[in-house]
This record gives sequence, C-alpha cells and structure tokens, in this order.
Amino acid sequence: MADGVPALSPATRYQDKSVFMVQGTSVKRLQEQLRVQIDKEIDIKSSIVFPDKETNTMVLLNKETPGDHHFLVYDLLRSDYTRKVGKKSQNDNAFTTDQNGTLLIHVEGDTIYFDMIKMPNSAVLTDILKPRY
Amino acid sequence: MKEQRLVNLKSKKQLAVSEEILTSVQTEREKFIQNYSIPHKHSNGEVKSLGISGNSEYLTSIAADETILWLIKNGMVQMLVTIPREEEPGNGMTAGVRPLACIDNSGTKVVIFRGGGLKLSVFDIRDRKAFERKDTIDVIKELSATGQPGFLVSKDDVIHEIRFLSGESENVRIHL
Repeated sequence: MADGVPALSPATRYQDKSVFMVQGTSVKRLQEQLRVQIDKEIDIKSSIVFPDKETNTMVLLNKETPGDHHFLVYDLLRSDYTRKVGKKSQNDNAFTTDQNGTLLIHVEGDTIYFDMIKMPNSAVLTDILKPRY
Repeated sequence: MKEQRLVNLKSKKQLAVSEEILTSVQTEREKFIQNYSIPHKHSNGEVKSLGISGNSEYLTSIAADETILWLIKNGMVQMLVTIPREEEPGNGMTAGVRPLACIDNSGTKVVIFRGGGLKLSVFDIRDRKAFERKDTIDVIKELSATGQPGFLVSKDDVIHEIRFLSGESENVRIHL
C-alpha cells in the first residue's frame, strides 16, 4: 500500500454502497424507503451486503426466525424483495455477492456455494422475454 | 408406420427460440453461470467470513485457523494460497470478533483483521503461489499520529468491513 496519511471521516451506514450512489430525485425517494427497510433489517439482526457495481440490488441474510434463516434479494426500483434463497445450515453466516449482484456466495457446513440469484444481462433473453402487445 | 411429429408455425417458432437460447447459453458461459459448490478446505473450524475483490475474480475465506485465497474464473474456482493464522503473530485476536479479510483486484495484496486491538495484517501475494508478510497496521496508532480531532477510536471498537478502495491496492477503507 502507498505510504499515505490515514483519514477518518464520519459516515452514515452504507452511504458508500452502490445502491446509494445513484443520483436523481425519483431515486432519492426509493433510497429513503430503502434506508427505512435497512433499519428494520438491522433491528432484527440481518446481515447485509451490496454488490460493487450493480446499483439496484441489496442482498441480506435474514435470521429473524430461528430454524428458517434465508437470503433475500432486494430490488431498489421495485422497492421489494425479488428473490428468496433457502439456507440449510443455520450456524454459518458467511456470505457475499459478486460485483454485478448475480452470484450469491455462501457457506453451508464444509461447502462454499455459488448460486445465481439474477437473470444474466443477455440480449437474447431480453428480446425473448420483452412484452409484445 | 413411423409416427411423425406435427410441426406447425407455433411449434416451429418455439423451437427456433429454444435453439437461440441454447446457443446463447453455450457461447456466453461467463454470463450463464450454473450453480456450483466446492469444499472450503479449512482444516479446523467454520468459515467466519468471505471477502471478494472489486472485480469478483478473487475470493478470501477466513476461519479460526487460516485464510484461503481463491481464484474465480468462468464458473470455476481454484485454490491459490493458504495463509496460516501463525503468520499473523503480532496481530493477535479477540474472541468473539468476526475475522475479516479483503483482497485487491490484482490478487497481490491481502489484508486480514482478527481483532487484537484494531490491528491489521498486510500480506503480499506473489505469482498467485506464495505469500509474504508485509506490514502490520495499528489503526489506533496511525490515527493518533495524524491527530484526527473529534473521533474517539478505542481498542474495543470493532471493524465491520475492510475493503480496497475501487479494488486498487493503494487504499483500504475500514468501517468501524
């Protein structure tokens, strides 16, 4: 690492995350809703990760109900959870997501799992799935 | 008499769409990743946290005994280097604190945190094969040396996240 001077600055929780980097007045309202959602999740001891580049996604590990820990994928523009991934092991809490928010990497016992949590950004799929009126 | 399959316009179109999807899946393998899993290979204890590089090429898994670096490429994972816990002697650890590790985009620098009074171990990774201990960062000493007013950081504080800024190996961001 470079021999630089360390700097300390106050920060609100998750302010540097991709999902809060989007500018625009319409998105601001959604981000405020998300902040409320995040506070609720923190209250119930959920763990949260954000992809580095994707600005629309949040992935969290919900541990609210004992014996039913699961991952949830939140979509900022829909303001809702779009995907739920079940968890076999209730003790392992290590997880992360890739830069595009397409891959959920999590640990269950002796195994690291790599699960797709989002449709790939493919021109073919977009063309096939687009609504035709 | 051999039974013939009825092909009308609708089924013909569906078949063409299916072939198009199949071709796309076969040619864009890095996009259409299949779910897969690997054994974590930590000899002792559960994996406490995972850290991924900014470009999603490298992964770190950290347990009580060691830190393992992985290379993720085209839906495959390769184990690169294992850094045993004994290689972080001056660092120490605090019971109950979740250990953290992060790696930069080029896979050449790893930072490990295990508590121990807000100290970080820095390792250089050479040719994806070997590691070399480079430095120990004492966050409290660093901050008091530069005189940061208005902040009270103590040894009891815990780091929630460490990350290389923009994935580059020059700056690390720490969230307390």
